[in-house]
Amino acid sequence: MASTLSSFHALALRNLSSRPVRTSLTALGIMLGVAVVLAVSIINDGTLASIHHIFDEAAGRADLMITNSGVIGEPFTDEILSRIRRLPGVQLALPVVSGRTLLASEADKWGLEVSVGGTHTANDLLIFGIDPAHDRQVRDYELVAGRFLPAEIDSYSVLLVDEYAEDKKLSLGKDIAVLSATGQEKLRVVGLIAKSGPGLQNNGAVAIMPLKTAQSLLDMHGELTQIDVLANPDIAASPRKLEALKEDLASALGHGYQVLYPAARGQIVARMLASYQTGLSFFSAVALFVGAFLIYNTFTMTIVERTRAIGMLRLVGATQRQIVMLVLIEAAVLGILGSLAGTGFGILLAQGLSRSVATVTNTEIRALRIPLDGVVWSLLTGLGVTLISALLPAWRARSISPLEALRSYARPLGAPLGRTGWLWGCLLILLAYLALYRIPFRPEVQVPIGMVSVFVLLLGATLVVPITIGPAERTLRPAMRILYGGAGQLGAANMRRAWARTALTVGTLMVGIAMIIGIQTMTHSFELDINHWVQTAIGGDLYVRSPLPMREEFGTRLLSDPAVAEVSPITYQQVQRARQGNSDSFSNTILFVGIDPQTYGRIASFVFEDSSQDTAQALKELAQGGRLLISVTVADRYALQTGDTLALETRRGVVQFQVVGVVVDFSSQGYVVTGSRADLARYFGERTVDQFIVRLKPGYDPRVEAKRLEDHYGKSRHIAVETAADFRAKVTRLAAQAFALFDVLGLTGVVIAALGVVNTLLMNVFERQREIGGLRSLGMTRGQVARMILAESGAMGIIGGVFGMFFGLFLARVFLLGVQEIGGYTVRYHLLPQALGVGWAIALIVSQLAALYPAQKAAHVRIVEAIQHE
Amino acid sequence: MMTILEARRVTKQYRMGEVTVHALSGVDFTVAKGEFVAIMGPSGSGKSTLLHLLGGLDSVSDGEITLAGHRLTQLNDNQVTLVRRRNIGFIFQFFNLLPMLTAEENVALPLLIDGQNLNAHREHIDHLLQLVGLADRRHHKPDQLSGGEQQRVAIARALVTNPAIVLADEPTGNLDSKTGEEILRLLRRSCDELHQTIVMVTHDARAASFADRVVFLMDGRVVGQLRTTGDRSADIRAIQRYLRESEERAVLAPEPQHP
Ligand SMILES: Nc1ncnc2c1ncn2[C@@H]1O[C@H](COP(=O)(O)OP(=O)(O)OP(=O)(O)O)[C@@H](O)[C@H]1O
Ligand SMILES: [Mg+2]
Repeated sequence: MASTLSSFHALALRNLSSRPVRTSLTALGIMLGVAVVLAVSIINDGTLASIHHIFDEAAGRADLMITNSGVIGEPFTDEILSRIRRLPGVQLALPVVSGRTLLASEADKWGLEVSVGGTHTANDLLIFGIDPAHDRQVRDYELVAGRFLPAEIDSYSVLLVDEYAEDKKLSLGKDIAVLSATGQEKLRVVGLIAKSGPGLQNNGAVAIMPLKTAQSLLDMHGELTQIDVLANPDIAASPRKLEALKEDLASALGHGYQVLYPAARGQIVARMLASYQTGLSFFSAVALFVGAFLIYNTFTMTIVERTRAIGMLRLVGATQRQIVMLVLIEAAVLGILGSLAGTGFGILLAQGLSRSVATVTNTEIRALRIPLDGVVWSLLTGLGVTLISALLPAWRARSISPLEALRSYARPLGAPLGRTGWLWGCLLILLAYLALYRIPFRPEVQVPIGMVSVFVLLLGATLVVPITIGPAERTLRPAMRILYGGAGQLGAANMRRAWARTALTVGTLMVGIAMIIGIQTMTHSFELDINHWVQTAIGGDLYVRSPLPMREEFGTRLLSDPAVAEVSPITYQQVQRARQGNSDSFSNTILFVGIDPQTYGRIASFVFEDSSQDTAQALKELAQGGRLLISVTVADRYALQTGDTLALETRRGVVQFQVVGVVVDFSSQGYVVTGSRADLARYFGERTVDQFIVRLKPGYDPRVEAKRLEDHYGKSRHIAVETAADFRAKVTRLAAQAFALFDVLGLTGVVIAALGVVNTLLMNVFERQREIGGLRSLGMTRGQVARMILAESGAMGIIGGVFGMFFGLFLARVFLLGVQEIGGYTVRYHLLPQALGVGWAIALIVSQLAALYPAQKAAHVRIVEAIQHE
Repeated sequence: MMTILEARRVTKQYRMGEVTVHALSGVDFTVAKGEFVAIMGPSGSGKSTLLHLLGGLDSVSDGEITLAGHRLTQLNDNQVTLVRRRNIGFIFQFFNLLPMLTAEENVALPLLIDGQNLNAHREHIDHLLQLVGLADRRHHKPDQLSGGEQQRVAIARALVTNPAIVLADEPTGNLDSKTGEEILRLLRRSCDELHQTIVMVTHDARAASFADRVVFLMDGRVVGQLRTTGDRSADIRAIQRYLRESEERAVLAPEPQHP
């Protein structure tokens, strides 16, 4: 260091560079925190941008869009088209019908995929039926080869996306065969378009064809799924006039239709994923909170260690303000370094994680954009969090007296808030407890309150830790003596002597362990519930499905198969909860699972929240009609319980259904009700079957029978048979994948905590160099010194583990709250005793591993130097 | 003669739970500009306490201290700090250097803290390093210097702001007698050549003989003083005689009473 200091504040840099290990560990902690936050925000942005992009492009230049009022994509009659066209201000109204089918060649490879947004088919082809004569006024079809569709509305010609055609080996001028309601149809490929505009839909697997052709393929004669409206230019140019037109349209069409701005569609899909994204953000925020706490700890420790040096600065005339500035500048430098590194690492992390997020959310994330504002924001967050965390330590440094420099031994810093600190701590813990368990806050505020209570709890625990150290040390001393010899006893005693320092290390360990236990308990609770539900509710041996609607009679044919014991049909229908006030349409969309009360009970059963209820009784009730079982999530969200009524929009207007039970159900994000198929037919006009669940006679192998049934019926009826075991595995795999991300975030927290422990222990050793030198001069061997440090750290590990266990249970509760309030799932709290044990063991292991380097450093303290100099 | 430092009826009590320790009980003490004063007394007599109060490191229980025209006892922490920064230099038994700074940087530290441009003081710092004989070791860190060398850095640091007064607490307590002599000679020189005012606490008669005047403290009170003659060995003998006599007096006298 040949360059001389240029200013007093440059001293901060010197402090940092003279302790490279500590500086890098702290910066690393900040880096990890910032990286996680940035990565999550980049991924979330990328997912959202992708979704909006697809829908914006598909909507083209349309000003307004008309859909079914219930669920977008449900058909409605094309008779309204002429009514719309007559309305003043409407320049053009374009009909669209869309639905899903398969290439005939792929019918047997058809399968169901599961994602956070719900289930979807893996290789389906989207039929997009348009008016060839006019559609190009709204949408741009970027022709790559061939020509556009002929003008007539019923030609059997089709446009494919070039990428898709290449992938499926389909060529221009040839015919393709797709499944239709009645069998198969052949279409001539007349043109190939680029994967842009309407070609972006369904990830390019889209067949664009004339309207009539599409209607007949989908068996939707006279029906549309969407009408795009182009307004007169003067109206389109004025948001106010457009809004007026939107309202005119809505009132002209009346009940049963909704008029949307095209962007709204993307928004609705985006909202489906919002809960998962908020979940990710929540955990990244928790990681940052933990990081902040550890930075606070590290800085407090730095102050403890430097008490003498700070006293000396005060002695030669540094003002209190200058001392505060010195600490804050140090923090700022660390914050900037850590945040810069974190930004770089966060971008890498985003790329690494995006693949797995894409799988979980079933959204292809287009090239990840690195948002400038996101980067700036994460830099500021990192810097801000570091500065805020350093404020309190800086304030404590301010009060160090110049006389501290004159003491031959540094006096340990007192406990924060002095003697009554632990009382404040207890109060804070009590407050956090009440906020989490006792006070029923409204759902919207529960998550922020949960987050704040995490912080309050941490603070409370740190204040309480100091008073527990004395008794804990007395209890542990004999054990330490046995484990580490006489040096061990000394190590344990050290812990009590510098209790402020000990409290900080224990606090750091506590946070790490709590993270492990919290995440484990949450994951475990979730998995238990999901597995139980998967095992019980997803009953039967086989699932028979088809991309085309099936008839009930098919069930009878299945039943006549020699291997089949029982068959029960199931129908899924998206329904709307009757609007209440201004709640938006997404949170009112519910999946109605229609079952057959006569046969369902023979194959599967329900998982009731109230274990005294049983399936047979519930089925009897459902058979009477007008009754529903609701999921725990629905019960939670709409504040319903058994005996209440749930109002649904039906074909016969709003109907009040009576709630006869609350069940655990994880399908469709938990927004599920179960009723009878008869009700579905009566109130929603839905009579087809989406799926048959099949129980085999004893002795038949599901895998073999699945294959046989599929071969037997597959060709003529396009059915796919999946074993229940496979489906369960899929659901479980998805859950595991979704949690893998949370685990990454949790692990980051643990790593940050481990860094913190190494840091505090190292500082312990640096601060005590003189003392350790003294002990060595009195004849302590290197081994004894190392054992002393290990014993001290081990004892802190034990205490930190105990605190971590308690705090971890709290944290698990906050995590579950997070999952519940933002993810929509209501998960029951399951205590996992192993997690406590594992957490505690990790506390011990981390405490010993983290102490290795400091112990080695201590063992090699040079006696002479240590006792000669400061 | 101009008075640079004046302590009037200074008392200091330390409360230790139930017990009150009377470290100083009404000390009157003045130092003239350019004077080199030694404070002597048995262990626990209150020497260090007095020095701390004079330097504004601690606050008095009662009494007044005026240093270079500043009423220390009426200033807040910030104001006292500024007085300390610009008017007082400290030297202690343990050298109190910042380990991560070089000798030269340690010397310059008070100027840095005061926000001064070091280039303007380059010559001054060089001169001081030469004065203490460390010009060739300016880039060494404290742990690369001997105890005597570290103390010389501390002296240069104490002098760098041209302070009104230097306060030294047993500056030779941690050094062998030869190195101690060198340090004392250095202090004497800075008094003679730079007209530096110095107050030094010591319990070594040889060290005290370097001063112009020796003040004796006992049980928190000033019990007497001696003016040196310049004849070192005679002065040492006089100081030792005084100490011996006062010890005998203390043995005969009853326990001091506190009001
Ligand atoms: N911080 C303190 N708290 C309580 N008592 C103190 C404190 N500092 C000093 N004392 C007491 O005040 C008295 C004077 O102490 P001081 O350090 O001034 O003595 P001293 O003359 O410098 O002794 P020595 O020659 O041993 O350094 C002693 O009785 C000491 O115990
Ligand atoms: Mg003393």
